[in-house]
Amino acid sequence: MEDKFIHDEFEEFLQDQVRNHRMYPADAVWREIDRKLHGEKRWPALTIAAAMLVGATVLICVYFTPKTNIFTIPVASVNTATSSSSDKSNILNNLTSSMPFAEPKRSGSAISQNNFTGPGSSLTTANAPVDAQLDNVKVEKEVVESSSSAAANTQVGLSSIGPITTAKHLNSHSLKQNEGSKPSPQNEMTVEDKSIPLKQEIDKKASNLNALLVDDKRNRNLNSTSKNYYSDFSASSRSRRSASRGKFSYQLYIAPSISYRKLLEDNSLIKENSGGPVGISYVTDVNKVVRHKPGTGMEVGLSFMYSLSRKVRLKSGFQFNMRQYSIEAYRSSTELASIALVGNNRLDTINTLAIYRTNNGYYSTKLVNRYYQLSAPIGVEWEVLGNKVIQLNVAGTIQPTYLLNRNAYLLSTNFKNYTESPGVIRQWNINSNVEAFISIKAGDYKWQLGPQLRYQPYSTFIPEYSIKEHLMDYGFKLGLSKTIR
Amino acid sequence: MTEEYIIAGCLHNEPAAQRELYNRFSPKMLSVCYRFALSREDAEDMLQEGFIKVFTQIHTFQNKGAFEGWIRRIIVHTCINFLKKYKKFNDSVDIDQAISAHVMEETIPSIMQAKQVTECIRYLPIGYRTVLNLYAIEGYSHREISSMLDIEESTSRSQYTRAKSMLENILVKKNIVEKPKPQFTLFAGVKK
Repeated sequence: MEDKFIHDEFEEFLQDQVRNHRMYPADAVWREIDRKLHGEKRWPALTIAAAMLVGATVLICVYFTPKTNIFTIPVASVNTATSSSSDKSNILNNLTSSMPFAEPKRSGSAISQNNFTGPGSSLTTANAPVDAQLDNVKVEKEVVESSSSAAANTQVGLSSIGPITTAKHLNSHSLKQNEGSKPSPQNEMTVEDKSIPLKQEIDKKASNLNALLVDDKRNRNLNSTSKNYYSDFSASSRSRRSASRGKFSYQLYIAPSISYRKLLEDNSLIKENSGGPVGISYVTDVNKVVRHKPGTGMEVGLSFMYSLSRKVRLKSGFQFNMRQYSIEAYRSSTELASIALVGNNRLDTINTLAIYRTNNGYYSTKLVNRYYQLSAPIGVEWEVLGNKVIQLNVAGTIQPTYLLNRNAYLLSTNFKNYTESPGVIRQWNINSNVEAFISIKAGDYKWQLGPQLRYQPYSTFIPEYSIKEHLMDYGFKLGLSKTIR
Repeated sequence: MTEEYIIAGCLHNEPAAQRELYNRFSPKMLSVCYRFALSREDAEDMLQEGFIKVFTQIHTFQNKGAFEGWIRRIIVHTCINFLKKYKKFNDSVDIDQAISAHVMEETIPSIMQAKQVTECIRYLPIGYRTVLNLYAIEGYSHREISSMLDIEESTSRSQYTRAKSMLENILVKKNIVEKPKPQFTLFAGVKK
């Protein structure tokens, strides 16, 4: 009795003590448990795809964004220079023409050197031939008058020459040349003998003026020729460049989709291998055993296009696909699941452990087969109809595809279990895509919207596996494209 | 989150429910593992293995007893298997030699009494400790212990007796319990 009491008390003491004892495990313990239960959650593929997309976008923005027309810049600058020089010449002309007025001291001195002695009336009369000539060349009298309004009557004859040249927009160069090469009328007048009669003097002035106008015309012709040359050059270079560069464009797109799959049995394998002890002998249709539901998928990509003609474009690029579907299954105890592989007249069996059944388990559960893929679509786009703003297009591509993950559930050969066997899943595959879309031009960009169908003609699994899975995606594509100029 | 909800979530393999279950029971279970293990690292390895079993075998729980008790049994079995698997029993002091093992007073940290008791238990040779843990704390019978450890039932009994005697000495040395008087019970003067 005493022993029992002692025993119970000892146990009770120990239990009381250790019941209150708590220890807290390191975080790494849970991470390891979680990893073992759910696998690695990191998806480097997603990161890589996103990084590639961002990188490509940045590259395009940096290197392919059309600059402000490299060739036309010099032309524009030449034109600008020409025009600016003409502007400058205008300004100079104005300055030169207004110089006598702006610098009355100089003109005054010139006039004083001329020593006009005739009366004002004779001067006015003498101005008549000059005015007549001015009328012939359609001189704007207002300009003359406005510019010469501040001038004295005795200066009208001379000062009118300045504004005339201004009104006719004489090139400063020609003007300067004229000024430099031969004596200006004023200078000429200054070297005139005082004894020359006023009429002769005016006639001479008129002839000089005519010579000046002829030079001006010649210069203007030269200028216009050079301008035409430059403009012709720039136009031709622009057209050549736009012809070559406007053919390329790029497009960013995203396409949410609904992912389905189609299961088929390889009857040839069944016939060939129905006799052996572990032969394949289906008693039912696989589609009656499997209960699967579509899932939402996604497609993101970047493509480059080359216009073969106004309506046909070649396209290529790369894209990231996520497609998935769910399977209704039942949790069971761990069971042995066999997968028969038939090839080269040989039957191999892969034995795996499965904890999911197609029927009859502890409880129902949902398995998700999710595929992450990288693909490189190559195809053609055709503009069926439309105008410059809105078009209807159809396109088709073939897409070599690389599967990034291979942890999908597949059926055991007896259709009883779902199990994972990465070796049975192909890493490389091919997909095809057809789409119709409306493209709408908005400024430099073009938006496109339309449905698309993506189909995987080859099975997800290796040919030796007797069940064929073909993936399908019905999606709606939204794209944004821009022509590279 | 109620226990039923956690169990339902774990049955559906939901990470949130699993995390909740782990957070709720791991401190107690690590303490259990620690009493069996030679080091804390071993205890955490045992805990990890134990919880993976809990999550993968949760569908076998049939609501016929306490959920904590069910987890505890899995953890204890995991500890025993761990010790067997890594031959930890071989590394321990021989049972006969263990009686004369010298207890260094300063090796036991003077912290809370619960931890002191745990440390005192851990100071026992692993064979003694395992039997003591299973019998006195976890409540297994000597028959069950003999089956679990692949030893004779009588061996289990004798080991427990020796373990108990040794632990008494250690507890007295550590001044956790008073030295028993010859005619009275040992734990009459337990300091609580």
